[in-house]
Amino acid sequence: MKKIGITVFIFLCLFRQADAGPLRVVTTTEDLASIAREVGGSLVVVESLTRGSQDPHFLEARPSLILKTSRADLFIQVGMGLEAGWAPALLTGARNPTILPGNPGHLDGSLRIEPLEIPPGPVDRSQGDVHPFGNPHYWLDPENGRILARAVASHLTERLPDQSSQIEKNLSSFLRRLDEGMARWTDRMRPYRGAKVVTYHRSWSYFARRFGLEVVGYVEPKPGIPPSPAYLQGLIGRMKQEGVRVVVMEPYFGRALADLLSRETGAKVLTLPPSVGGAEGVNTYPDLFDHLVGRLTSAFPEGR
Amino acid sequence: MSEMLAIPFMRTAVAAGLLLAAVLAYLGIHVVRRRIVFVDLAIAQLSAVGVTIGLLLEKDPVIVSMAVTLAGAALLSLPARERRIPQEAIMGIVYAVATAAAVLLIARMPHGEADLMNLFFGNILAVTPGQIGLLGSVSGAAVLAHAFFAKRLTPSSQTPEGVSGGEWAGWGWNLFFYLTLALVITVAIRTAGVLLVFSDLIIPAVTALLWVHRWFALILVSVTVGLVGNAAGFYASYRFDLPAGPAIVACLGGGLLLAAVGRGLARLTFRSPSV
Repeated sequence: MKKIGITVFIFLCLFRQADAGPLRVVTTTEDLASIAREVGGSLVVVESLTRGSQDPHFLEARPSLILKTSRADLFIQVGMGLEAGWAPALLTGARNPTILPGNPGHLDGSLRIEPLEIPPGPVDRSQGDVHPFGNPHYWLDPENGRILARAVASHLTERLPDQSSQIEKNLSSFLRRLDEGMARWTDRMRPYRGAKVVTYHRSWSYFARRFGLEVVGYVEPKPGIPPSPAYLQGLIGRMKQEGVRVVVMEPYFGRALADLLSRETGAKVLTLPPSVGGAEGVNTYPDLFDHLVGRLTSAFPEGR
Repeated sequence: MSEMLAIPFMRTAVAAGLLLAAVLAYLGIHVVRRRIVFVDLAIAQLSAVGVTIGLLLEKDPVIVSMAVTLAGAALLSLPARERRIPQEAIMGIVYAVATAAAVLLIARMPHGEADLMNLFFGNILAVTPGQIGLLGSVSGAAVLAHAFFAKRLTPSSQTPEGVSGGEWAGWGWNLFFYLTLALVITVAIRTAGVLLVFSDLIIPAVTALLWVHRWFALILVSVTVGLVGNAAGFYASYRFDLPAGPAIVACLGGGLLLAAVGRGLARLTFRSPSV
């Protein structure tokens, strides 16, 4: 009888374990996935819907992505309209009420950070309805990574109150690594403070502000709309006048226009990954900044 | 297959996909026989232009888009005066100019982005039950109207030259056809995207035209090919984790290739009867 009791007890324990399991976290980008992995550790299984080499503005839904979303306990998105083209449809298809906006299983990182480039004045339909909340590329500032990590930690603690000390421990170890990284990155970027760059889209604003780069202009002022001849001519003039040496672009845009600017001004075209997983060896959130800082510092001419 | 249909979102998607396949495979016979294959792309771009105009004017983009699309379809239905210019050329031109117009309009918006237009094009996997309801009622109404007026409508598709040769008498039926087509296609595109709608419309009809001649046989074969191709595509999408739209298009294309090869072999074997 005792034996049976013990067996039943063990079985119950096993079942509870299986039931509790690790929390299933689904993120829209690999940057968010990396942060969630750091904070959640062994308490979570994290999957990102987009790869770091993809433009997160676009995603073709596949059955497995909807399935993953339908089974998720926590859904983390960048927000500010970055995923507006596909995340709402995915969430509708998944029919998982816990992860809908406003519920505890939904985390929109953009609600926690301080946004840049909010359109001045009232936002109305004529402005295109696209990024009326400001620039969504905020993960490219490690300080916002800290904010994201804290937000993830508080969401995880809410779901797993028993594990709060473990989550706290993971969080503080990640924040410490970010602090050390921050000191290293700022140090290496210091000689290039005030250096002028042109970027393809407005995706590097947060990075440039944090590390003291000055963005002089954009190759394509409106994503997907080719620039006019007068605009290009003006940009070339400004690049020559201001001595812009580097044009930064994401790997998934066409090179034709950036190469034109390079031919006209002698600036170097630098293809930088904006996300974790976007280049060889960039596997974690801190890796991303090591990579970006390394590539940038070797692209600028000596001493400036 | 049953495993796939146990998942709620797949069930909704398959239901919407098969409904779409049947209606478009029927309309496709009219479209191919009238030699207006690009009509679907022209209508898709007209509706995108409508959305951008709606946003610029700060009016409801869905309503403005519907108005622009129906007006455009009415213009497309006008009989061509010059016989040397095929209707297909007009469709292609409307497609190109409407695409350009949408880009130019977005360029005028302070925060416009080109992917704005893509927001308007749906993905079959993310279909909502509400969309199925809309799709079902619009296409049901169109098919019923077509069935009711089949005696007048069918000849106008079978000999499109007779109508587009400048006979205003036939224009009414032409207009009726274009308006019903535009309504169904606009709703379909918002549910399933341009690529899938184009393929559902054209490929089954062409496959059917390879093998049969009589009007009702054409409809029967085309709808069957559409349904089978879509079912196979959904299964492939689920089984191999592929985007559903392109998987269906690939299955329809593969089916057409098989049908064409089979037709060629049949012609070689029974040379005399099929000439």
